[in-house]
Amino acid sequence: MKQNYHRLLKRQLKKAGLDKENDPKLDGFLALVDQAYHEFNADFSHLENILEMSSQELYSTNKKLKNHVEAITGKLENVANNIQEVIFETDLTGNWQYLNPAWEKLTGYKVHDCLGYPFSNFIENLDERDRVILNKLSQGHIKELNEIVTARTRDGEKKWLDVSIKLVHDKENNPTGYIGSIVDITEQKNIQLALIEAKDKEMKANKAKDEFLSTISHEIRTPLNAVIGISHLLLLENPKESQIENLTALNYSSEHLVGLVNDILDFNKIESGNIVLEKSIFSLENILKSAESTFGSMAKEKNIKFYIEQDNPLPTCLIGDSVRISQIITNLVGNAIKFTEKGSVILKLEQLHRNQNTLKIKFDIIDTGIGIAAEKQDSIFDAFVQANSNTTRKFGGSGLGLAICKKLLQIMDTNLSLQSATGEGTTFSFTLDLEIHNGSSTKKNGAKPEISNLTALDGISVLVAEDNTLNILVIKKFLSKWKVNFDIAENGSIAVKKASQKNYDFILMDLQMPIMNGYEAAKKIRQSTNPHNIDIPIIALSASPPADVQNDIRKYGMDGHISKPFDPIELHQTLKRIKSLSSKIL
Amino acid sequence: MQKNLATIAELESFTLDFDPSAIFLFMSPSFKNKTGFIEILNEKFPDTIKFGCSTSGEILGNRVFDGTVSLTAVHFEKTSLNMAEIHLNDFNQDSYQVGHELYKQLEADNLRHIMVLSDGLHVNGAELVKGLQENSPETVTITGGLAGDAADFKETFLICSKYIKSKRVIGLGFYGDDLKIGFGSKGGWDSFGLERLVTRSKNNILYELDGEPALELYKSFLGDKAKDLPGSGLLFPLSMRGDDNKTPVVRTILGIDEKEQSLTFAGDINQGSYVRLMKANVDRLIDGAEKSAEVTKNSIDEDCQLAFLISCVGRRLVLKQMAEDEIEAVNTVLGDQVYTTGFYSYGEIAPFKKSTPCTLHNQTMTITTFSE
Repeated sequence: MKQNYHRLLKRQLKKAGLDKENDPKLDGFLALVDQAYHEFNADFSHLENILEMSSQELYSTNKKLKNHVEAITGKLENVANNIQEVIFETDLTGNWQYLNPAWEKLTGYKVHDCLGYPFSNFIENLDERDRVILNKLSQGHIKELNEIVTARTRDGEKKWLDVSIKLVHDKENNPTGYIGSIVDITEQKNIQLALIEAKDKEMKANKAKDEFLSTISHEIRTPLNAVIGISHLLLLENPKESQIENLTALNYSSEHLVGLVNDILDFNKIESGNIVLEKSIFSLENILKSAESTFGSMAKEKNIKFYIEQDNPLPTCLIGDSVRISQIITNLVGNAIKFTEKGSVILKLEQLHRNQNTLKIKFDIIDTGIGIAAEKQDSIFDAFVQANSNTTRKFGGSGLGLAICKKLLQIMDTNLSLQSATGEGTTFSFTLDLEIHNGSSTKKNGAKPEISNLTALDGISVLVAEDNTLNILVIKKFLSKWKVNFDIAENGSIAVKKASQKNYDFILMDLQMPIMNGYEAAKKIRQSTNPHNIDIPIIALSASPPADVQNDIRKYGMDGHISKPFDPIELHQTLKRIKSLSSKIL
Repeated sequence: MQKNLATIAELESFTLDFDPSAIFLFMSPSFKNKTGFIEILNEKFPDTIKFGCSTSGEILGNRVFDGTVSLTAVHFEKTSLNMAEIHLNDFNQDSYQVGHELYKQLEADNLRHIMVLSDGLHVNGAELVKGLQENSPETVTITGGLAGDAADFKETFLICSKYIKSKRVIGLGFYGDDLKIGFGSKGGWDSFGLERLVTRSKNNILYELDGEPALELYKSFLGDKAKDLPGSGLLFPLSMRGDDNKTPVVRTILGIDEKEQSLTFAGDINQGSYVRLMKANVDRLIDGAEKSAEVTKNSIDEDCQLAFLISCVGRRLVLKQMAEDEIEAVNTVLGDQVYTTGFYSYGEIAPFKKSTPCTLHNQTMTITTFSE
């Protein structure tokens, strides 16, 4: 027997009594067995090694995983325990399965008292709407939900809660419950509510301010009306040389005051977004003529030149808001003349584009006045701003004119631009897109005559409905001067009565009167049995701005409007027109 | 006609009563006077294709031999053959290009099958297969293997008619519509332990697993057998799975580099793929061989006449005295009528089964059968 045989083989040979055998055939066989035993041992120890290595590796991997899981769990727990928001889990029927400590802080309920119980036990006093929504949860009808609900805490405190809920599934995609969060948004909600309330208050305050402005302007204009009227009259009644200067100053100052009141009202209206542009047929040519007449004489007085430059003849009729366009032109040209001591003011019109139906026209108001320093050019358009404080003292004005022009043009989808340098004059420019009306204009604004040249209007009879004694006094004086026959009605009711008894050529109707206001009176007069009154001209006399009352005037059957304090020239022209009409009919 | 020859002298008396189309030779690297053997064979059969390679064990019938030549002379009645040979150096050892060129040389309208034998040490088998398949239509099947040299990893060689040469890839094209080809390839190895991410690799060289040197990990699992690397690496292949979750492939070690702490494999180890260590036991390897034979048998309708068994040297090292059991298991499935030959190899080439693309395998029993 070979000594280096495998231990087991040697033992087996001994036991079998074959260890003393010496057979070469058996030796060959035993060599194979021995080899197999050794190889088996080697393989076995190899496998043992694999087992050992794998065990070690699994142990350390497991340990790493455990640490990892612990670390993550710790982190998550730390987050869940310390965030402000409530994190929760419920089963499919809405019983709490997990709640983080924020729950107790929010509701006052202890977490361990809630787990296992339905959510509805702890979210109390839900609105009916909120209850319906959250009940869907316990019926398993929700996949994902995000709602703001109101609920009460244990102490009865009302809370606004932002609740997010999501259905969760296991690996086989079977729903297992809900997870979600609850955020206390009470504070934000209260701020939001306070903001809404504040805004509401502000709106009310604004409305009160508007009403106040409207009332006060009416109250201011009524006495001003008298002041202006009387100053006009005094000027007509051959005043002494020494009185002329005072009266002119009085007249100018009161007219200036009216302008200021109008500007403030207008600006307020634009600022509060209450302005609606009119779309009516008008003649730009007439607006230009009027401007030429007004500003021509103003320029003459200052010994400067004013003229209008046009590249092409204008269409007869355009469609737009003539009052506003006129206001812009008047304002800008008026400003230009005000700030120009020598040289000229030019209103230049350039037709940029024109076809059958539309016109794009550019307006330049070019002066050779004091100019505006570059650093002031941006703020010049702000309300109540003038280039410097001296300007106000020297040139007067509210500082609202440019702001109003700019805002009006913005509402018309265009812009007011400015080119200027100190001492080199100023050019204001804007363009307008206007529709062309292929027909004739309804309004004719002729050139204004001088107040002293007004002719007598004898032969026409006028009913004046006016309650204010001062106004009555002024109107009386003018009408008497123009030899007009007139009756006074102190309120609407009297006016209706008088109109039914006598055929007047013309009715001048104050809108705000006691007992019956001007609107009602006009309506009644139109409806009266006297057929003469169906088309008798009724002109409203009002301290309110024309744009404010224009619609109502038409609605109640009146034909036009004269602003108080009234311009005697405007009144005279209106009367004159009526006289010529009635004489034609006669 | 089949014969196993232990010495050159046995060839002197060798005669055939038919005219062979090809003689398949699987020769041990330790066979004495290899060149002399081929010369004598050429004298006896000057016009016959001689096709074969070195082995890690010669298979003939139900037996496994060492130090011999397994000779199988075959006469194809209806199928014609053509052999091509490519020198690896001609393509700068670019295995893909070599495969590409080999196919080009064998390509013809009625080409049915290519049997490819390759140098076992200087070739990237996976790239070779890619190159071979690049232009081949589905109707052409490819099987074969990488030559072995016992388990020495020193030099493998190819037998291409008149010569014995190293660093070659040879292919035998089978032409004609009457040839029926069956094939199958199964292993029987089990993966164990953790799945490891390949964090650094290049082509067929693996540097790091899970950020750690690959060789160190590998050695720790080999234990005592680490000192026998790279030979002992045959016992310890890797199973590699890409992201695509396809059937994992088995990769065998061809060499190690202590300095780089790297392992060189018989096929590519892709960075980003997952690998697991593998182990085997005798019973499961034999079961694997049997299953491979069943797949082969089921892939054609009729009984096969000739079977080539290319089995991995790693299997032989595990099976040891039981190696012949896996050959017997295969032959039992294929039937008595079949002539079986083949060799233990450094890599097997075949599809897993019918209608899957051909790939390089390690540690499998890969079977190709012919009948006409």
